[in-house]
Amino acid sequence: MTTISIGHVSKRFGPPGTAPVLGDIELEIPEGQFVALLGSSGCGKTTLLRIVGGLESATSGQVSIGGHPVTGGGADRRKALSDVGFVFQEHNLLPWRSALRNVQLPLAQRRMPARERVEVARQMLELVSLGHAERRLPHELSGGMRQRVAIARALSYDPAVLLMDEPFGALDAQTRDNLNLELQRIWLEKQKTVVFVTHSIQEAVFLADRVVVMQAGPGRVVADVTIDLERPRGVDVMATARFAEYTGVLREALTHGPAADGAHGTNGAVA
Amino acid sequence: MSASSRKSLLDRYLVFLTTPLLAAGLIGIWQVYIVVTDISAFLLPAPRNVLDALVQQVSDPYIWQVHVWTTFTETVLGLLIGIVIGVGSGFAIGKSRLLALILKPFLVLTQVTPKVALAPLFVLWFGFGEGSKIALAALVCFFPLMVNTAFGIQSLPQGHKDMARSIGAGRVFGFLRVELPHTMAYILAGLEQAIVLATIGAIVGEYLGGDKGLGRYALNLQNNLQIDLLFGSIVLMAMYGLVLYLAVTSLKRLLIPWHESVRLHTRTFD
Ligand SMILES: Nc1ncnc2c1ncn2[C@@H]1O[C@H](COP(=O)(O)OP(=O)(O)O)[C@@H](O)[C@H]1O
Ligand SMILES: [Mg+2]
Repeated sequence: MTTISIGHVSKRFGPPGTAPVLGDIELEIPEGQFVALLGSSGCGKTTLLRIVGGLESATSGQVSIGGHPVTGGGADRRKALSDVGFVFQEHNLLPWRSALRNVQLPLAQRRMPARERVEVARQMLELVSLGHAERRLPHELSGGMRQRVAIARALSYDPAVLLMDEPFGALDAQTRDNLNLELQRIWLEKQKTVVFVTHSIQEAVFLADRVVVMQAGPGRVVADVTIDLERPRGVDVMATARFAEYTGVLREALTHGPAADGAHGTNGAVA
Repeated sequence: MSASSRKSLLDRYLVFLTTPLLAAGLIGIWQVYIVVTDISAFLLPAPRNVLDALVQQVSDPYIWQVHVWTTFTETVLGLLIGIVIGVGSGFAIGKSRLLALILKPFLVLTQVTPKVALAPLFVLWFGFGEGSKIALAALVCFFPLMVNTAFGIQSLPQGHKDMARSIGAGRVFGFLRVELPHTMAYILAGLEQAIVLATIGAIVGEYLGGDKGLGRYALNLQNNLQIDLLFGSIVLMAMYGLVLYLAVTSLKRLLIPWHESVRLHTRTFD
């Protein structure tokens, strides 16, 4: 079953005639898949993710999530987006709310009773290993901890789809590796459909079932590579020959485009 | 104890040492000046005499019950009206680009007009009683509240807006849980200025007429050439202003303990 369906999506920020940021994007993402959207800076990854998450409108084309069109509007749109969690490049935590109360925010929006809300938010903070920090304000947390809270917030209402825009991009390598391991653990536990934007080849291969490579001018998909590595993956997988093979293929696709989309280009299915 | 925490401790308690020393120094210079120049006590009374006058005033219930209380009610009522109008119009202007554009010339004009110049007019309209003082206090204090509120709304980070949309927040939820708390820091910054201005408005209003309030009291003392008491009343007004200002600062700690302005102050002044 397809969870996210992106059909002929294009996007232009300027008036008609100006160069589009996204060309003609076609992508089907089945339920439960972890997809990495890989591309160099400025190729339109954020724009595409924001269109999928309903934060930006498409100039043309359709996006639907779980069969409900996001690009339509009205009740359908709300239904589609109620099942989506968004994790931004910046944590976007409210500075006046403690970690626990930040995680509760979407639950309050959904009118969950206060007691239940606290309970669920606690569980979510436990899930991201931050049970001990629930009372802290965002400025009392490290960069990595803030992103964990942001992930807990996005997961709090148990959405089927998680959209993540370079969530660990601003963190140091060590913290990033740790969070990638945790994200994998959470994903294996929760089985969400994840679209994870990154410009790091390593991160894409380590995390994803499938890496979709984008290039700029206008933003388009140039390769679609299935990553067939066993899970759970540890950091040592990065030292294996298979891992190196995947990163080689992706680097080639990033620099030269469609030509590299050879034997590995299996759209959709996961082995 | 680490070097940095020793330094912050020093920062924290330094003012409690320096303030009395500086005050003592100034009073010393004042005393020396009087002795050296032999200036008339009608122009500059000796510190000792001012202190006596102040003690007399502070222990006089009439001063508290009539003058301080009158000025206080005028200030607070003026401030409340200023808050309602200032915060209300600030939200409207902050939310509506069109309204901001249309009202801008008018607002600049209100800003550059010396608002105390309207005081005689207010006496005409609202009489010599407390009404004209309240109106003047409200008029001079509403502006910083409006500007700060509007700026607060407009400065809401795009990331907050995106986050609110992504969790499905509607207009009401977004306003109450995101916009309002964010703007509160700006409203309180406006309030810090407004409380000082409202006090000025009330006292200037009293100078122009009426028979009660700290401003009126100071004017009477000047007319009677009771210069010791006049100096005492000025100290009283300074204390009065300080108390109101500290009240707003405490309100900030209570309402926006998370905000940088409070965190920084807490580090240096606590
Ligand atoms: N709101 C906007 N208005 C105009 N141009 C935009 C806007 N957002 C993004 N762009 C442009 O679209 C292109 C793609 O941006 P983005 O999606 O952020 O790329 P990425 O996330 O891959 O780095 C960039 O050239 C950027 O300048
Ligand atoms: Mg981006």
